[in-house]
Amino acid sequence: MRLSFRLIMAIVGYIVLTVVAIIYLMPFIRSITASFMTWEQAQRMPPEWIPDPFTTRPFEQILGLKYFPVWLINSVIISASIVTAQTILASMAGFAFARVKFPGREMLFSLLLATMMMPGIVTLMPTYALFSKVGLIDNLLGIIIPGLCGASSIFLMRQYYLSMPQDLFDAARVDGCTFLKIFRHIAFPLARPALGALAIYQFLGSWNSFLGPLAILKSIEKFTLPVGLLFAFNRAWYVEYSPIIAGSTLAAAPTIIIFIIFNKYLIKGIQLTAGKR
Amino acid sequence: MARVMLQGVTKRFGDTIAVNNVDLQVADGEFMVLLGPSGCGKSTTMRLIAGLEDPDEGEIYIGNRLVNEIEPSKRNIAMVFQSYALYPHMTVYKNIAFPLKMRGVPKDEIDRKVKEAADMLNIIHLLKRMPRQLSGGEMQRVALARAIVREPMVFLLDEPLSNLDAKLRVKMRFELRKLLHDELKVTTVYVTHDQVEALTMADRIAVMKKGRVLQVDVADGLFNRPRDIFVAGFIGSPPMNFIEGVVNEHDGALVIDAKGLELPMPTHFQEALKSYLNSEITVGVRPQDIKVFQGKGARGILGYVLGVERLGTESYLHIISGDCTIVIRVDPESKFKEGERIWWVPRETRLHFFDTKTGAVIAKT
Repeated sequence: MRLSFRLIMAIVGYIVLTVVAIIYLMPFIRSITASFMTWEQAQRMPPEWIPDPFTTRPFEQILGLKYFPVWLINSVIISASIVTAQTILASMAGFAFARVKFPGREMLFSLLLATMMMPGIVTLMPTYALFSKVGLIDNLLGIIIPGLCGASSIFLMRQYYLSMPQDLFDAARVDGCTFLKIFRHIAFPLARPALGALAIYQFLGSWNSFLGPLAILKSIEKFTLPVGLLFAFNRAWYVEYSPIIAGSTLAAAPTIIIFIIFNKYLIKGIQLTAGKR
Repeated sequence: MARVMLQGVTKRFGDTIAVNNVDLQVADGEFMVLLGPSGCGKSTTMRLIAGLEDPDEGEIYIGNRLVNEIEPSKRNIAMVFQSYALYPHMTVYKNIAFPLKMRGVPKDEIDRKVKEAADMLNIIHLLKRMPRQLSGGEMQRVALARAIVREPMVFLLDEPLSNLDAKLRVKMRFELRKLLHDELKVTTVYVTHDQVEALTMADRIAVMKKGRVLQVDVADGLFNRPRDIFVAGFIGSPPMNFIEGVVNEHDGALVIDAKGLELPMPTHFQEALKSYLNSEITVGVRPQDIKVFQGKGARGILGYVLGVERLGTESYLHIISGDCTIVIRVDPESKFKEGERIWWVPRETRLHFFDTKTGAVIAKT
């Protein structure tokens, strides 16, 4: 009796989860099917789900763009720089906050956390004003530099280092390590799961980032993929969405692949930040 | 090889004083055990010696060198942690080699020393394994190998046996002492809360309580001549019986009035206790230092049997006498009934007297 009740609950649970998953997947499925439609069919109401006629024209439009490879490369440069810098810098800073005693540490960490409370959009204008003075407008560095390190990444890494036993670090100190050597030989290699999560988050964030690049980058050859796509199909009176949708589907591909391969790291990251303070 | 010396060492964590003005001398090659209940400051004392904590006051010497300002890695010590603290991402070989590698020892020398240490601890066959593939006892050996491979001047061991099962603990207790003390002859400071470990392994034991060292002595000294009521109660199992009372004069001789019973004072203590007339003292007597008489013609102090604990080779009789419950070791062959009247007599020479207020022992004059 008891078992069958649990079985029923499990079935109900799975039905609910499946329905929610389908709802969440809907826009995604829509963008895949729509990227094979003509724009005329794609904007019909009520929406149609089967491409008729089936066309690959939106993809041809995208791939045929002169600047598509440039934008792709720009996006790769930005994402790669940010991911590399974040994993190195945030893991070092996180280690310092977790395991190195220095005066003012708690104060500094609180300040850092406070910056997380501020929505990124609030700092967009001041950042723009500042960058326009130092020549970082219309420059990929203007996107990369603010992304080099972030409070949330430092927080994630700090949590992970705190979850490691103190004895390990003490043992390393007795065994002849300076803090830098402890970091290099013990902390960093052991932080791989957290670094994986961090790298994926940062990739997703920087790859999909739109508003920052839109504000900072001015010339066509500097655009990232999301900015470029909008620019290319933004007509005077309307936006031609089907190539944008096709482009977004293309642009999302690495994200989806990464998610499928590394989703256990992503879950690890969630557990870390959700865990103890 | 080196001595270790602590002079007036104090360590505070916020408002709590973890280590309070500790003086301690560990002779060259000596096996010193820091013994005390949890939170007594014994681990902190060891971490101060290691350099993992900095003292707020006092001086720490290793050999003839003042090490207060010296990094843990440069103090020429090795430490074994309760959790073993093996590096989980390195093989056993790399774990043992790590302290040598950090010191820039040449590769072939590292290899020779690692194998030597592994051989000494019978773990050659484990060198390629990862720590997670080892049993508790094996991890323990690897941690020890990592400590001895450096040939340090001082070994620091923080409750190294407490994560092992009881049987293995007894075995390792014996092996550890043999290895560190008899073979390597290295100065060792060993932290434990287990008095049996302390009594069986140590040359001398420092008993700690609330950040203070109460007594540093050989096992026999702590057991037979405790200088403090805490030491008296902490060492020995089952613990010493304590009877609190007031010193009174009765027919020209001093007696102790304890709740509902009167203890006559041994003649050799009369003089020392005179100054305690009318003040409170505590009498201590171990379970094995009391004789029990049954039946007709018995003499001594009256008590009633509460029950008997039988442990095979010995039995412990629990009695109530006046308002005091007292534990007495008795012959396992003897028979007692619950509620039976018995008479007990402590061995006069084995009585301990403590000032109830300060806990300090009252010495014979």
